Amino acid sequence: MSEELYAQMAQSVIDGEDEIAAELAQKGIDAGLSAGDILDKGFVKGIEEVGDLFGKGEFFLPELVQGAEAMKAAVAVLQPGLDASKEGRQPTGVAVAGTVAGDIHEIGKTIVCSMLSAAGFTVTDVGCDVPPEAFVESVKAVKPDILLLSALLTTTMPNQQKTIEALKVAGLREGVKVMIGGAPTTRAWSDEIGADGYAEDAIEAVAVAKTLMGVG
Amino acid sequence: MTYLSATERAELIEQTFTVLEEVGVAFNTPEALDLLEEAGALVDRETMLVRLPRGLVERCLALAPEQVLLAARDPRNDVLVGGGAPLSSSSSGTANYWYDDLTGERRPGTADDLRTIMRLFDALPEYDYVWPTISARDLDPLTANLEIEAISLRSCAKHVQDEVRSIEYVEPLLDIFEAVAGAPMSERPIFSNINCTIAPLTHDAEMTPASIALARAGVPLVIMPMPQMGTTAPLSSPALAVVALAELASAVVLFQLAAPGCPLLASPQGAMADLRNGLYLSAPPEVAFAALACIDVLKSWGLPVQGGSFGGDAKATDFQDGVEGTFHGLLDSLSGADTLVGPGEFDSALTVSLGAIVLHADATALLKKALQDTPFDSASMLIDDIRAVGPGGHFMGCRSTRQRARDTWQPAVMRRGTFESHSGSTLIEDAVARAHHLLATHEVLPIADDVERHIDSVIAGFAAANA
Repeated sequence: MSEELYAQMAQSVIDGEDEIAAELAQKGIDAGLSAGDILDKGFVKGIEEVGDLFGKGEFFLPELVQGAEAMKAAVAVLQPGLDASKEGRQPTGVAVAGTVAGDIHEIGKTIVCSMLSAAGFTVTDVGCDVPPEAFVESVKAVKPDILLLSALLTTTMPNQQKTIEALKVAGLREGVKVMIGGAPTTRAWSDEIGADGYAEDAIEAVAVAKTLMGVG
Repeated sequence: MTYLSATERAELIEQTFTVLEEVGVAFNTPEALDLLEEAGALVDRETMLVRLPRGLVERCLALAPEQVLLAARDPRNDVLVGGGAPLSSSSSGTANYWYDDLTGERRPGTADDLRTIMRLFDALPEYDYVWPTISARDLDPLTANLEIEAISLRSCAKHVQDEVRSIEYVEPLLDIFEAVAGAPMSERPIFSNINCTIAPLTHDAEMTPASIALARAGVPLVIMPMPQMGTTAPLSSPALAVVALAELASAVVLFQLAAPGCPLLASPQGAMADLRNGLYLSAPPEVAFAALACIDVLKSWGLPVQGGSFGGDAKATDFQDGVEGTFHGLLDSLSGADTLVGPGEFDSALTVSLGAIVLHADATALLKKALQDTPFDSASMLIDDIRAVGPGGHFMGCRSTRQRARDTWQPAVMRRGTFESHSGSTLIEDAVARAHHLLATHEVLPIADDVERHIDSVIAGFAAANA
């Protein structure tokens, strides 16, 4: 019975059905299965299949994003059990993400957050039009491993640099890795402003984040 | 060319009005909410969401003029858009990168690049007005909005179109424009302001008050929704059209309430997300078909329309660039666009090059020629010549051939002649050579010294006041 349930859990992620994923996660808990087993034997198998199908070109970005959302919904149900388990499961990393001051575009950042969550990161999305001081306060509060700064306009790109400078002034720069992204940004810009990582798209963002965490 | 059937058009308009009435639009500006509420819209002050009754939308659409004057500091470059005026074309704007067509080097844009590019657009008669085509990364962000317009006005005597991002730039920019024009914007609008809505269904909190102020000063507005299928619009061409039209109509309502009868261009510039990586795509056919539908409806509403050409997704001025640019330009023109924006750029409008500007000029002339209103009548069919020449003769000696020769499309760079005559150089090399020749020989109409000094003082004063 548990094998069948695990298969259904995986399928819910492949199908991008977040409500069904959450229901199945609860069903597994109610059936006495461990949170760790539910995650590893059920939902993780699904997200791995999603990644595999994407790599083969059979799945596209919407399937990836929706699979990630289903994974996130399942993990939300399983988290108390995961926290309490003796396995001491740790997230891949802790991240804070936001769109910089003056910029209200956030679709790219939202997709990145979704995919980082699916990859095992604990992600705090601080929204859009975030001034440097607010990013500093988030870093103080959350103590993330990685801070992700998104900018979609050439006029707001400088605020990525200003945020990095604000972290230095606050004495926080050394304690957090900074990644940048957004349509007008480039690797050269990332280097110029002293960021630790740059990604062209959401898929690369996950790979870069994992590399920064030493788990790439 | 009529793309939609009457039923499809009616359905698209119906669904657009339904979105405006039932889903609503976030205006994000207290001034906008006041205007809309007074006019009968349903306003939620907490969320800044406004639901627009269709009667209000229809009334405001009817207020917008069918034809817009885009004046230039050299009146010989004045352009009329809409109302039966000939097809015109602008450059595209705000690319991030300069690209060297011959070496393949790509780097961030500078103020000098902007000067060069604007001078080249001034030299090319195929372009009727300009949008500062590159963002200058080396300008002070505080004064960049002012300096970019100053550079554009100094380097090009054609109408300038650009975005004014926030209210504090309005007064100094109006001061500059009116000094250069020698008249108020209401009389000589040498500048038009692009107002980009934020998809889906949202107005920019900073840009909106600036656009209201500019509209009240007589500056034409260019309403430019840019929803992206798959991310900020659903993944279908009809749905992309609904979102774009709803945003556009909501902007028309606001600005007509703020400044009744204000001139504006409707410029739907949708896109699509690359479904492999989420990146921006401007040239897929699905986007083109949404544009056709938008233009169809906008013309039925009596609005002057700015369509698109070029600025596609190719990574160089190559075969893909040519296909994408001409495909979009032709479809938009045939469906009724009065003017086109896009030339000069590629790489999803992120990159500009001299070769692109020159080659797109040839293609723009081709589009204009194809859309020229050629009458099919007894005079144009030259029956008398056919009778006179008869079977087996030739028409090279006819007076009509001599008279009409100069009216045919003559590309400046695109290849004709023998294979041998072009051996030794590539098309892009020829295009770059033409660009350099024009830049070396063309003289831009100068601005009077006192006006030049005034421009400098306005910018310096703004910098000092906001330091």
